[in-house]
Amino acid sequence: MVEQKDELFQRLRDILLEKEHRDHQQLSQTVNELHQDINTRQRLEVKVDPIVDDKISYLKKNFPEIFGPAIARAVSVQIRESQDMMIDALYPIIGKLIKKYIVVELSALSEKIDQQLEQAFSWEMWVRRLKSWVTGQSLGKEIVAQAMEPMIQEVFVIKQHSSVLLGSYSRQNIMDRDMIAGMMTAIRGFAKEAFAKEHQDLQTIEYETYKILLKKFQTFYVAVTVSGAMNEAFKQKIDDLVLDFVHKVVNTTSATTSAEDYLSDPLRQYFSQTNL
Amino acid sequence: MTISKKVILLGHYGVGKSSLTRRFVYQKFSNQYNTTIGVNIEKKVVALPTCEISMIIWDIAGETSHQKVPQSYKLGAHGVIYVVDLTRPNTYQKLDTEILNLQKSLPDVPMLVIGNKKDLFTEKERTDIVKQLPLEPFALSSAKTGENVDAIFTELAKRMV
Repeated sequence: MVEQKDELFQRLRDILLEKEHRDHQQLSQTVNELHQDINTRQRLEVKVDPIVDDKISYLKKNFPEIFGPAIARAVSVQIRESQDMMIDALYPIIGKLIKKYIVVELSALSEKIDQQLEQAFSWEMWVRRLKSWVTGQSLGKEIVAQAMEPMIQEVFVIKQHSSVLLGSYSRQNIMDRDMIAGMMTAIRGFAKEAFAKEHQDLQTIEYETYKILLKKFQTFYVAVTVSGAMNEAFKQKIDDLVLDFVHKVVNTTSATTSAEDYLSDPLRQYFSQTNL
Repeated sequence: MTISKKVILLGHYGVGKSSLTRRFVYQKFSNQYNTTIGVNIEKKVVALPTCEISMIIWDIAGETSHQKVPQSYKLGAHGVIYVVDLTRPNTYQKLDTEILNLQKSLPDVPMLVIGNKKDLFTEKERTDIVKQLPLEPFALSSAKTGENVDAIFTELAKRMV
């Protein structure tokens, strides 16, 4: 009798709670799936990756707007707080640049004054003026024709200490280029040792009407031989040319070739096109 | 393919650095002694089985210690020939210290120690002198007769490749 009651009660309970039971099963299945999604990397990646990618692209696109002010503030604070350190690092470089600039400008000014004084008061100038007045020829043209135009004769790119020649260009037949590179390196070394000046380098060697301009870089230096009367303007042009050549050619070709004198062809191509 | 290499010759004055260079480059020898001022630079191409080595030889003025030689002359050297005079013990008495210091300033650079002027001794005398040297020389040479000169430079060329 009691058993019958229990059975009836159980049936009644099943009938009454059938919907809750179904809901419970469904909920349990959903929780299980969510658990799987969260704890299985591959499944989580499928869900999360598109969102992360979107966020990354958004950050990439809007990085300057979002982080720019904060970075600028941080850099500004860093600079303010490390002024001494920065001055120590920049002082020798800036000082050298300013010194070089002043020297160049003073030389140019002095040269200009000398030229003007010489031209204005020299006896030769009066003779030329008279001759020009008599013949009717332009005085300017005559002076330019008589002046000895400066011209690049040779260019060498030489490794700093080993004196190994990385490339050379020459308008004429000269003695062994390796020997010239070696001797030039020795002269630079000698000047440095003899006068023991830190951060200073031999910049010019003069030989009668020839001048050799030396321009130092980190691992190599460039020597340019010039014939004729060279003024500051011409020197500046050569400086610009050398810097441009190093920037465009040396820095781009060094890593791609194994040949030792790999700069000879580029040097020839570059400098034969210039009208200096 | 030709590879350029900087070779420096070091040692006391009068040991025969310039004579060895002259013998190697020009196959010549002179009994007259001309002191080198600063540095003299010569070049010779040595053909090896795999490549050619263009040796840029820095014949540096003799000093009692290599530390008196300007640093810039030594920097960037790919090979060193240290020459001692077999007739003058003071040119090799501190040989071991000299080479040790050189190896510190030029690590991984091949160095050959050469005992020059071997033509002035008999075989027995030479053996006795070599025993006195603080380091065993790579070779004994004679710039006068040319003995071993080419072999020394060629060996250095091989070691620099």
